[in-house]
Amino acid sequence: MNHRVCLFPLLLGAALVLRAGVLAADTGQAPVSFDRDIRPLLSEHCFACHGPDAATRKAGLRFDTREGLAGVAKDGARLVTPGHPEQSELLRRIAAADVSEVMPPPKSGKPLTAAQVTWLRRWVEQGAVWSPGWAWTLPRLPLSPVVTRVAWVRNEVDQFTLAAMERRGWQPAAEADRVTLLRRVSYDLTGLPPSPEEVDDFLADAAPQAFERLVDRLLASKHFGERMAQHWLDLARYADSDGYHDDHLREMHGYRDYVIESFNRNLPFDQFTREQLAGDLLPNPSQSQLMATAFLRNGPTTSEMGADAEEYRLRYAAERVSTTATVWLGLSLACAECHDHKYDPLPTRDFYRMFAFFDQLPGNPLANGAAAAPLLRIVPPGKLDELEAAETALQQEQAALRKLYYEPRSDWDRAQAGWEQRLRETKLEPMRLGDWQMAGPYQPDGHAESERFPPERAQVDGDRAAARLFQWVPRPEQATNDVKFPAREGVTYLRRDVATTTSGIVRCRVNPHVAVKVWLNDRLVHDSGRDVETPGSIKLFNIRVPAGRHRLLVKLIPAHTREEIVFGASESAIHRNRLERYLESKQLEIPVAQRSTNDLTMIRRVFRELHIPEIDAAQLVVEAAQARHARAAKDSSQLRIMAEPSQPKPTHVLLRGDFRRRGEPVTAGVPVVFDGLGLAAPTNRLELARWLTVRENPLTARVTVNRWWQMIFGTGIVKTGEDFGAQGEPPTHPELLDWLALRFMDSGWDVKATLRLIVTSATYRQSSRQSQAAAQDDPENRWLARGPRFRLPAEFIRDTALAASGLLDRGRAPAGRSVLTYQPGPDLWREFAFAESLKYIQDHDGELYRRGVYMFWKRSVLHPYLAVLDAPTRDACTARRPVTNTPTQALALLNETLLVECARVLAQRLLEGATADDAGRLRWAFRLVLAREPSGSEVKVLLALHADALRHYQTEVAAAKQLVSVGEFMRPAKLDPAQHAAWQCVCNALLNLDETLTKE
Amino acid sequence: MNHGSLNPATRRLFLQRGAFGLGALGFLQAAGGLRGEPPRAAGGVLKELHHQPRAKRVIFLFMGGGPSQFETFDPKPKLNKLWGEPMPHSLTKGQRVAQLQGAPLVILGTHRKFAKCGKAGTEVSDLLPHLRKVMDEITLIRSMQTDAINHDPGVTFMQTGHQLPGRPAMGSWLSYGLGSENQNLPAYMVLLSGQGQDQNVKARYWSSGFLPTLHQGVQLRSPGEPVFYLANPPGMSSPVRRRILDSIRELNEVHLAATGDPEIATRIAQYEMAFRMQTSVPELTDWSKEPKSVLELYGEEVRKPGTFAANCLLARRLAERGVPFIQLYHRGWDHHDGIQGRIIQECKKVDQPCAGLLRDLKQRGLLKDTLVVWSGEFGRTPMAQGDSQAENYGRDHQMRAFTSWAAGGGIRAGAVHGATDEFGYNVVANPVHVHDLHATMLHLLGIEHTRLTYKFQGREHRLTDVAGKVVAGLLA
Repeated sequence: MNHRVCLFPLLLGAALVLRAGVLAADTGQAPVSFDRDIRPLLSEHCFACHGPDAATRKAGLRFDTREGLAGVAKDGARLVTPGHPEQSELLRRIAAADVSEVMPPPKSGKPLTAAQVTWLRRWVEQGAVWSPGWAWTLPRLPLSPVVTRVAWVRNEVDQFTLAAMERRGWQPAAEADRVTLLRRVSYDLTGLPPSPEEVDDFLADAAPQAFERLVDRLLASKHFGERMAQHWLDLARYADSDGYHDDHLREMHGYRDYVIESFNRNLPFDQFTREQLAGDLLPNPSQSQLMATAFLRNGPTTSEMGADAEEYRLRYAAERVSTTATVWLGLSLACAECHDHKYDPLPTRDFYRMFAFFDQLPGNPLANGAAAAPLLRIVPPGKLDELEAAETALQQEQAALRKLYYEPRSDWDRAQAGWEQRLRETKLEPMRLGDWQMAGPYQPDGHAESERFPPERAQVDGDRAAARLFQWVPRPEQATNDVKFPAREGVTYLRRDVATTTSGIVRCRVNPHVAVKVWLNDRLVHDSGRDVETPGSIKLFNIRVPAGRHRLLVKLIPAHTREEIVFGASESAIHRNRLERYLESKQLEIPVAQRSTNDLTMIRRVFRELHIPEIDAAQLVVEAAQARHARAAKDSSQLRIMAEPSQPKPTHVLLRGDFRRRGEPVTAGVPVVFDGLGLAAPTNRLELARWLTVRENPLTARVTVNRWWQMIFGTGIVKTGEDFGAQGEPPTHPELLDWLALRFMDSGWDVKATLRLIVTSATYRQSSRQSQAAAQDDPENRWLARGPRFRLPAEFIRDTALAASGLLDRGRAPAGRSVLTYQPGPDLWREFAFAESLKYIQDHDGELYRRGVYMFWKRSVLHPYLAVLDAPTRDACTARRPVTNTPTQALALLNETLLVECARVLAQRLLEGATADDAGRLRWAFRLVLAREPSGSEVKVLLALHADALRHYQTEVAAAKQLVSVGEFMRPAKLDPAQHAAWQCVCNALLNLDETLTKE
Repeated sequence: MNHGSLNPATRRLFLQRGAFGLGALGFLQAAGGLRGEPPRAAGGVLKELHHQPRAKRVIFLFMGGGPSQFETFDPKPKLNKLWGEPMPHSLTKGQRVAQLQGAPLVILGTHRKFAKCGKAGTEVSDLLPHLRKVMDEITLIRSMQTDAINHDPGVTFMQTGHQLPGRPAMGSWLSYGLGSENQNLPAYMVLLSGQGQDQNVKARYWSSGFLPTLHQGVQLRSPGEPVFYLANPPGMSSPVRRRILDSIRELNEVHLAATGDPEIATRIAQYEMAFRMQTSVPELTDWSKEPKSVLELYGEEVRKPGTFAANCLLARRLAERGVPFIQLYHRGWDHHDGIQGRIIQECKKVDQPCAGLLRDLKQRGLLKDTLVVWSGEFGRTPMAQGDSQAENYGRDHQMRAFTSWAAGGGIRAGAVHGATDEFGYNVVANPVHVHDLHATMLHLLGIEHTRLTYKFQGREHRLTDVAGKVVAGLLA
């Protein structure tokens, strides 16, 4: 078959035609393979009615088993008679001319092509050899295929790829040049471009095995774990939020760090498997082994009011089953949740037997945050004592405050009686708040919080001279309760009058990173330093105001000047509403002795909050204790982990997956299809984890090496890495897959050794340039006659810009909570969420420049940069990210703040570097971004851009200044803005080259 | 784009790539391509439609939270008569409720007045005076049914045909199937309103699921930057950006010639489209030239960016520009309490803009091939949540029966489809399941719902999962 003809239908998405086409071209009269050629065909066209699902099976015939194919039709005709096509009913029916006879029936919409009919006939002719499916049989150590170009082969991997090429009469591509190779392998093993020093070192190493030594260096790098985590976290659907409904935040980063650390110390993959699926069941599990089980808690959860706890308990278990099946077995077990699998030998009952491993988690399925038990508290070494002390102190202070709120005290209770009396006689009116006025900012000489500036002296000290030193400025937003202004260095004061007919409470709120003092007339009523921030917090506090007219004075000291200050003060609605309710319902007329306990304590608390200064003090003490606790807990987290309950719950098949329709009870077990393989049947999670990585398990090793192959070459040996079942694509190089899987197991599941094997092969080292013929013969590079070339994942593009600019990971420990980088504003979290819920509090300094793998993963509002560049929301396990190419990606890559900042800082690096001439700078920039020297024409193009941009910005200095101010990283004042802006344009172009975005 | 500036090597390469079935021009105009698979042409995967379409585009007015049918479109006098009585146990026995779990189920009437309107005499509540006047354009579906009782799975189900995340949204299916006639705007655009109220929202509601990301909904935001990263950084004017893009393109062309990877050609085309979007999107969102008479159709709030009214106007502008799937997502209907007050506010926000949108589309001749659908993820219970005699009661989620409506694009004009029992609890005639609504929408667009599929994890998936039938009674 002519390639051109057979490729054209691919454009229409008919992958199957490709398969048949390639086969026709590839195999000629070679023996038909049931697994490769026949099963996929039967699966696609026949299994829906003649497959594993008993409920939809027609005429009692099934073609998915040896027995089924050996069976007879109703009229007694044998379906398949080996060697005798003319005595095979199956062949007669597929070739029938009569539309009432022909199979598949026309209305199925899945007719067989003439070529497919020929294939089936040839299969019968050749003896109708059957196999249970390549994925269900154990990998076999293949014989090394015979190849002619022996000299090209570097290791066994190449034997297999070369043999396949030679069968087609193809030749491998030449080896990529050394810099390209260095860059490629650096991305594959660390996710980062090589530094110019690394390039020089590698080029200088002329000794044999230089590349192998380089690979060893990269495998030993601390960035290896980060690179592998980028890959694994999609599978583990790791995220920093719950996913469903409110999408509350969760603290799972301990799991991410576990993954990075495990890859870095080359934890054998079988152990990695056991720890994640059953770390809690290991004898005396270590903290890290418990942390690993967060894998099974990473799935999305809900706390939606009105949700059914049982429904979600079971839904989470189902999610764990399908994730585990996809990650280790490469099977889409989820299909069997509601009905027998249509294509693979997986009846519904098998799904629920797997389910029984995972549905025993104790705790409330609808809980979130600190209630989502079982939890593991993770405290950095040496911090536990401090945290426990802070916790005890907080509990004590809270108890003391409760005592002040609720315990009877004769003097206060007498005062309360008087207040209740007055209240009954008063007409309640809302508190009146005057306009806001502002003074400052004042630049402190010494300590800003203790230094007293004129507004403070005037009001608090009654210093009349001070009052003449400044003027209050009315604020434009005076009508509202919030004052908002850009933070400036120094101390700002606000003033506002308050009038109330009864004692009341002013509720104040301020955004983070601002220290606040508040005076009511001359009395200091609130004093809080900067508190420790967690995302989503704003500071709230109460000011007690007696009946009468008063003046509030507020002193604000921002910790930095990067964001706006928002200060709000309004009457506490809770207190006001309570008072109104007490009056309306005449509760205050009930004698104290006859009040319900609830009313008694609540009214008491309201009175005391409104009147008793000790309460203010105690509240401040509690706040301080909370702040201390937050500080002590700053690097601690509560990680969701697995545990077994004391009382196991029975597991049932759920009919059609409906949690209210229970079928037969089942016990934990693996799918029966594995029964014949001689494996011991696992009965709990730990045994399941062991079962996954025993030598007799045909899938785990294959699935895992295939995914790495996909990570490195762009497409797996099995293209459908998430589906090794009958509907997945068969492997292009089945023997290579088996050989790699066996080698992986033989090595003791050694991850680094296996990756080393792949990247040191000659196959890997080929140039990725496409000849026209190669591009036409094999556009997807499935036959590996060239090196891989595809766009980098979102994280690595960001990492590249960070590395080139020198901003990467500046002074930041490689662990801890996920980072909140620049976000297109004003606040997407709030745009999407409930009114008063989470606020996006952007990080600063080194936090901004951490690698992409540490970015905060909020499922409902994934960072738009990640979202447009194909990163999944991780609502579900993702085994393959698509690699698309869209205009919104272009916009993000051109304009995203961090990437623009990286261009700006890279320009700084060039201008401040040792090289003084422009061509030299450009060469340096190329080496930083692309690891290579530019060509003459590239230099010309970009120097022309530089010249044009420079000319522009020399006349538009204000614009230049704006451009070179993007991002928070410091900028040396001495740099000429026009020069800086012009180079920034060049760097922006460099960071957007296709080559920069691509591993090649 | 200007092909004249391609260097000869590149041009030669494009021409050689005619073998890929698109030719040089097609290649450059390709709106995108999944790696390893050839980029599609301006159209989607469907080279031709399955039958003659009645609609070319959809405007889906999503009412997040679940509007009450009893205060809007489905009058039930019996509920007023039995106000405060227990619901008949025979109806509710074994049926799911959400927040009413374990609570007594008490009948709740309404203070709303209904009147017959339009030629068909369809009864509509007094909260919707403007929609009352356009009922001749609309078919009311009083027999909607869904499978989900909670918001998150409910919205996900309406959007994707499946309760769990991971499937493509209906707009993504359309983008995948049909592509877009407009090469300067994405095929699936989403507009939010009702910010910060009641219901949260997730970007995955318009995610492309397992379809290539190219098909994910692009949010047209307001206020704020309408499309993420659309604006150049401060200090970078459009000519400077153009100059930078020229350099990028020049170097990319050289690299394309050297490596021969057609993906680079696609990237060049996408950077060009990005640049065009920098003009086309602001032009789209700038409605300052809309005449007063048009603005008045949508009501006062149309002048306030980010309101439902403003989004309706933008929807019309998107429809004019040939964007095939426009989704408005309005939040604010989750009235578990205070329904009698809150629903007045919510109806005020959507009534006139909806009616105005229909009128505006009609006067431009766009209504006949624009399918407009109005629906929540579910409806609300005839049972009260909270004290049915006090003033602050509300209604719980109801999946067994609720009301949606559709208009334009091949929908019967001025009709009522389906009916509920006298409690508004069960559908008694012509049920329309969410899958059926999806099937009907695709049908009107010329697509047989069983034939727009995508293979993922071993099976052919579709918007209607394994169900769905075209509802003939909705068709004109």
